[in-house]
Amino acid sequence: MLGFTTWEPPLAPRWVGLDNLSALIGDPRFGRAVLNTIVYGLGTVVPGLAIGLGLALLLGGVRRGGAVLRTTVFMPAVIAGVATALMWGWILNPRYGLLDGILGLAGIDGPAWLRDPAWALPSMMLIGLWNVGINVVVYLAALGTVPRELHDAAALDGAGAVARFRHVTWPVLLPITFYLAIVNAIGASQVFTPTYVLTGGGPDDATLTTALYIYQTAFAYGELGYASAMAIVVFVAVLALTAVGFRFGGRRVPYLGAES
Amino acid sequence: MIGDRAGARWRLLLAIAIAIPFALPVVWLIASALKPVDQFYASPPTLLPNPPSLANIVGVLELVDVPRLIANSTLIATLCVIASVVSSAVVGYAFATLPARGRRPLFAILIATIIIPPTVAIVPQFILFSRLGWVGTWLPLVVPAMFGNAFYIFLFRQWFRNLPAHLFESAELDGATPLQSFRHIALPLAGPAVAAVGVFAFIASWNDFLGPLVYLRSPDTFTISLGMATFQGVHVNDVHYTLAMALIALIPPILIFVVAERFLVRGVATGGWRA
Repeated sequence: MLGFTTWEPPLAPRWVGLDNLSALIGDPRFGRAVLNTIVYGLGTVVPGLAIGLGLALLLGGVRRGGAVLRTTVFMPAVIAGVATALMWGWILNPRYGLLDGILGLAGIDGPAWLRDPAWALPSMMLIGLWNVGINVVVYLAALGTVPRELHDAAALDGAGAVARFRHVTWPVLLPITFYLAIVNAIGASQVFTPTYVLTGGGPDDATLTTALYIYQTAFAYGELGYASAMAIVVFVAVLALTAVGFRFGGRRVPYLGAES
Repeated sequence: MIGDRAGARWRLLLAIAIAIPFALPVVWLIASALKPVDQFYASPPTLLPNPPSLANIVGVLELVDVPRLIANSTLIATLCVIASVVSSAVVGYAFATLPARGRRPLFAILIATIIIPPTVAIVPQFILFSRLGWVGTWLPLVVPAMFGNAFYIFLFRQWFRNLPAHLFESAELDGATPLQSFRHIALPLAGPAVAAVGVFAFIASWNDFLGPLVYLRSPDTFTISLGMATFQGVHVNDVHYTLAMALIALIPPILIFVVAERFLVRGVATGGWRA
């Protein structure tokens, strides 16, 4: 309801109907924030699923040292977002940072990352992808449920590794992949901490995400009604995304389906 | 067989190569925080401190009351753990065992709340809590945990469903109320689920940033995350102190992680985790 009011405390909310929504359509910063968030989502969710699956397949075959590797890959997920952001901020520092230091060894003059409008958003995706360990753990658990006899039978019938993956493993992983895609996409639509801590949305709004813009509008500019209208738009988008995800694969997802 | 073994070795090598990007940033954080200032601001950078120094840690402890921030975070997280475990276990038990009508649609609605993103909820929530006069206190950070969380409830429900039903039926025949059979039979058997939810709730609360940022006002109530972000905003040119603080902040969650990793991993595997 608040999305249809103008409310700048301490004034009382006043009903403005659809004015906020039409203002949103004409707000270039909101458009930029939506675009950035979509790019961030595509740039983290798709590679995140691919890397998660790839690592799980690799780690699933490692016997000795597998537990240590799994722990290493998963650990970033327990580190506080602010600490992660500060750590990456220093890695990406163009003068003293680790990444440009390593690139320098290879003779490459690295970009200024967070200070470069072209590289700031990709830097955020890199930080986001560092948390891919959750996907690895979910995929590893799913791989454990693939019946071994099916693999053996397929191998006896002369199926190669690729054919076995396609016809035996993948059907088990498909619903998990849909589930992870939905959860990761919702997560990506919420990215806030690294942009707030490291860039404040800059340079030139290059890392302004919808979550950050909602926060700034509500709590820095004090326009609660306008912020609510944005929140409604984001929520409807997330809802639509989830509905699409369900339509394609959700019915087979044991976690989100009705009774299992 | 020999081919298999060689293949396994290649996979191990490849897996280690892939693990490096996950470990190196943390190594870099630890190493940087322990560098003397002249090595910290060296260009090109060096990886390891030579020799390691505690100067940054000592220095930041003089500037900021870090123990206070850690204590605040720990206290808030502990309250959240207790509130989450109790509320989610009760609700999960009810969903698992009570034959109430309308259980299925209620459960579906509960699971649907998973997709309500926190940044969407923050504005209406803020308005609610400011009407209650709770802004500036820890209440907005702790009280919501008393109402459970869909994912934790789901975890408990799965756990209780897998217990043999006759346990509760015989208790009921002996005249136990549902609450009694929950307390005396179900809960003592739910150790691993309690551990998983406890660890999740601790880490989620410890890592929360948006909540403290929106609701806390006075620096002596800040959490470590909010304290770090505020410090780096004020001391932009003292990155050596900021990273020392980040290193200190890393210790409690990593300790918990090391102690409880298996519960955490099992919990993630059974339902995914919304980070």
